[in-house]
Amino acid sequence: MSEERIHPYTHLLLRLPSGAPRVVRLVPDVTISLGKFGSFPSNALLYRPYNLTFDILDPPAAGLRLVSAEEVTRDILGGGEDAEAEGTGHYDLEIVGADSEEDGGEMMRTNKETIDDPLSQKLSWVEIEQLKKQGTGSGRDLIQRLLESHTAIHQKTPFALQKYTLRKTRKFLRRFTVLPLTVASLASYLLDTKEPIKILEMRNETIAVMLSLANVHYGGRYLVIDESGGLLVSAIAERLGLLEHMPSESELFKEEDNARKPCPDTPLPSANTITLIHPNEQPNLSLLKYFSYDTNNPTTSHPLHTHLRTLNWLQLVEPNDDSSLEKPNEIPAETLVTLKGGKRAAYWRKHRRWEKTSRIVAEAQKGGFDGLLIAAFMDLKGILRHTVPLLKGSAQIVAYSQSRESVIELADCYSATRKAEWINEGKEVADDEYGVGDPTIVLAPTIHETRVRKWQVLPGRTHPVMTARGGAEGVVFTGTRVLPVEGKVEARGRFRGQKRRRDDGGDSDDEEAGAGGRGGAMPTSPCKRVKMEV
Amino acid sequence: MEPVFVKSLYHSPSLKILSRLDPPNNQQIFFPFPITFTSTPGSGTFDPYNKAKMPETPDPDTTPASNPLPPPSAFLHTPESIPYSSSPSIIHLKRDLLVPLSFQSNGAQAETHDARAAAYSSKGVLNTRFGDFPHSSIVGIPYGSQVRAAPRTNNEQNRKRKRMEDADEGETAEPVSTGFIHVLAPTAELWTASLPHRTQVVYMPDSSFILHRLQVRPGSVLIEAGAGSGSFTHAGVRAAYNGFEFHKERVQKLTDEIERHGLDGLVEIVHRDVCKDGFLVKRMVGEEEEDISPEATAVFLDLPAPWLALPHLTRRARPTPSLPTSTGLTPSPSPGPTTSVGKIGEAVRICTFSPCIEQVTRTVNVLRKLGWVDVEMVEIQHRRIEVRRLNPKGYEDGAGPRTVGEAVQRLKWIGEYREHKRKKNPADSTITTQQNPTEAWKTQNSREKKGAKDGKIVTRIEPEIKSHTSYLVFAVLPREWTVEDEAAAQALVKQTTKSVVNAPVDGNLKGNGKLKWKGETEERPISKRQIKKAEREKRKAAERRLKGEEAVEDKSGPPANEGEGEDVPGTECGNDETEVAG
Ligand SMILES: C[S@@+](CC[C@H](N)C(=O)[O-])C[C@H]1O[C@@H](n2cnc3c(N)ncnc32)[C@H](O)[C@@H]1O
Repeated sequence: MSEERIHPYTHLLLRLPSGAPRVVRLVPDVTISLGKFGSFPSNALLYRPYNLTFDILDPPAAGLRLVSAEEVTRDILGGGEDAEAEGTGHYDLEIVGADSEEDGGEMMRTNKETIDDPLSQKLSWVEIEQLKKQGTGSGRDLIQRLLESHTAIHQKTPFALQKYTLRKTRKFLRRFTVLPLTVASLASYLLDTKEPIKILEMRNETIAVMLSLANVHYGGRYLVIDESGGLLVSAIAERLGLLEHMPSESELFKEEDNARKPCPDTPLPSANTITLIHPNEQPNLSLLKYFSYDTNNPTTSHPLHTHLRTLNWLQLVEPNDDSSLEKPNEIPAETLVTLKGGKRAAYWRKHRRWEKTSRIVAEAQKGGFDGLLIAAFMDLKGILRHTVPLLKGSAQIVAYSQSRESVIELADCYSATRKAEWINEGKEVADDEYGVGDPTIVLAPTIHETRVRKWQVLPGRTHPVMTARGGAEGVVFTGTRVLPVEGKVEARGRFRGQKRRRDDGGDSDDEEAGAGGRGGAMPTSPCKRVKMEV
Repeated sequence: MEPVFVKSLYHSPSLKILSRLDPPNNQQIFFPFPITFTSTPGSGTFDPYNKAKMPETPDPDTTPASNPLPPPSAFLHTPESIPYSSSPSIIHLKRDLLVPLSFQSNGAQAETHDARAAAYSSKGVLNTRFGDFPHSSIVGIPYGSQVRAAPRTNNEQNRKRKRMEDADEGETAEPVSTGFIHVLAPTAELWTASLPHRTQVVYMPDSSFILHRLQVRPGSVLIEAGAGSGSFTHAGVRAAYNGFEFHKERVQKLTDEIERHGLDGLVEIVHRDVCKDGFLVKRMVGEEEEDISPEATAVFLDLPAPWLALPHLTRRARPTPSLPTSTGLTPSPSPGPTTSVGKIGEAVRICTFSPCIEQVTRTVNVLRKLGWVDVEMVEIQHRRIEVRRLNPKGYEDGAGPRTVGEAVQRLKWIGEYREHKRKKNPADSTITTQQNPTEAWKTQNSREKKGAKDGKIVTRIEPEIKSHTSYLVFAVLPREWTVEDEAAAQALVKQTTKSVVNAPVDGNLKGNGKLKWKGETEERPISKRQIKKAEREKRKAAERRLKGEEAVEDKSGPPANEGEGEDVPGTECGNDETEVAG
């Protein structure tokens, strides 16, 4: 997302004074309605910058008024910006200065006289509605009237007054802030307002931890299992610089009909990529639409078009049983020229699709990925069983689950005793169909739990917010893909040292030879090894 | 203070370019600054990036062999095999015991950038309590490999070591030859866990969230002030950025480190007191060296007094708005990190990192005064969960009973046994008819051999949690929006849309000027009398306004005041009632 300006057809996030977010797609020449907060023409936001705050002009005028940063801040503080400097700290009372002759010097005003009576508001509901309709000043008018008609207003301490004003402001001010729709803002929007289950209740702090622990960085190749509708994929793509897309002029105008455009046969890049494995025939990456990428109808100029590839579990695990990987019947060139144009195009399309799919599958099976990131409903053990072997040595494994239990179960699969059992008793005994496979290829399994605690920072009223979202705990498993010593010895057959060692019967003092071939002959108690490791 | 170290003449490219390029080009962008490659003959052919990484990519831009590009940092690209390099590999001895170590091919002393690593490693051999590992047995194998110890040679070092160990911890030398280590590729997280601490550092839970919220991504320019030990630096270098540090010795150490790690094309370290001297960087502009803006889009301040540095973070040279005297600031014009006039500016995001709430309130206060919006403060709570199986040992292994049933049974047996003993003559050896309860348990209750899946899975939190690291204050500085900008935007809208709706953005307060209400005014009511007075005025003002409005409405709605308003954040101050229309 370029944050410079708002471009047509991008998704934006509008935050209302209440804090409630709205996501809108900025289509030119339409009216954007914010319900009771009014409506405004979309053109008023077009090519304007992000992060600004606007008041919606009162009808009949159509448009917005830019609100300055000071004004925004002042309205957030309820006017008490300097309260702290002068203030009395955290109590709802105020020392009144010496100039109140009438009271004979200093006095304390506390909220003890304040009557919390709904009747102290003299405006009736009907009157408020009326004012809302014909009110002016983007809701300011109404708030003003509410303040004026509040009978107990004089009894309020400045703090209480601030709070009251603030509350009314949140409710009635026809104002919004326009924010870029980034992975961070999308995640909190979906979590707070949409269906959090669909994104596995993944919080921003969890996403951040996953990106860091998986060492996601520009240039890497990442294997991803994402059942959060594409949230994890978007987060990775953002880190890889694949999310920003400026549709070209032509694409903008042909918005509707680029479905028929044939995909150009670009060579697939082999770095800075995301390889997604999905459980259904087609991936569910619907959230990518917020970043101008629709997997069903991809914009070919979008970086994700070439850097994101998808395959399903069948294609990875049992490719021979997947019909889409069967080579389409070859039609000889002579016959091909005789075919009708449409048929010929269909043939080529089919051929290209097959070519692309089989390349993606072959590439995935070859492995050598730089990291594995998982956010899944599915059982983690099975996922790891099939994916960890596809990682490079030292690659990081990161798996998120809503439920602590499934992550804990997973961590237990890599316990010291499990590893010892695998080594002692062998694969045949220790392996079970539903397990993780070889536990010795994952080092230092660790579980992380992280949570952000928000604070309210207002002058004199700084404290943690009183409520926060509950729900899924959401924990992250991490481990490192390692190459256990036995495997390594086999893999290193080409080394001079090992050959010599075999020939010599394993009794060489040669430092070099020792370096290469020690692995095979060393008597080791696996138990001890594992003990040392953990 | 003078900047003592200015490196890298390159600037990070914009994101857009990065995302479109294929690897060969990226390579040039990402690693533009030649570093000395400290490899001796024998490993000279090592060029991990070109060699094996992208076999399928056509490589039109391959640089001639005579002028090879430096290999990318191992932090950003895991080499195919462990290289001789100045960049560290991470030796995983056991959980939470990590040692960074770089391998030198000439068998020379490993570079002693870390006292700890140096203690471990001498004469091309890594000595650990898990055994000895000649560097030659490690270099050349893939990262992530498990490495077995070489048979321990009875050299001087080991004898000394053994003496020491025996004396110290009484830790009898384990049969060291069976030990092993894992050699891991460096990552920011592993580095944080193993780096030489020179200051308090920022850990993963905080740094990850900060980078996520600051929207740091390829092409971003990130300022970190107070780079300290470089922990955050390594996490942040997954996007190109600059760092500032003012402690001289630390600067030198960090600079060396960044260079060794092959990150010096991406990280620029400047030695400077940012509170005094701001954030400009020296660049060659034509022939002259000039102080120019680094044009940052993200700022991370890990300083004792971040509010002192904030006034330097402005978009252009203009007098800093006066600040509360408590900050002790002498306002001075200071060009800041973002763009100068002419180029469209991006919003800048900031995070400050302070342990104390007093620091937070001061920072927030200054941020708000300087026109930053969306000020938010959070703290991160993080913990690691340990998983284990409840020991399935029961009473028979000497542990207590595990169930009520077991306890009851045991008590019964004890009673019976005692009874039995009392009846019998202790000298009598026929006691065997009645077993001692512990043994009885063993014979009667012998359990199956315990497997890895026995025992209940239980969890606990790591022994010590960081219950407070620091408070994170986030804020955004929106780009400035001037009358000219607005006019240009409107022209563009007219051009590109059907302009069905003429939609001005009114930056002017005139014609829509009812901006304040009581409770919002700067002078808060002080006494009842004053409140009343203020209210009276208010009411009058409102009446006046209403009249004024009717007049305006007759002229078919408020005029669209494009082009008149001046709405530069930070300049126009909140004077209220006076400007009410009428
Ligand atoms: C807590 S450390 C930073 C740790 C670092 N962020 C990390 O993750 O390793 C704070 C650093 O700020 C530096 N510092 C303090 N005041 C400064 C100033 N005015 N300008 C520049 N650096 C400053 C100190 O020398 C210290 O090294």
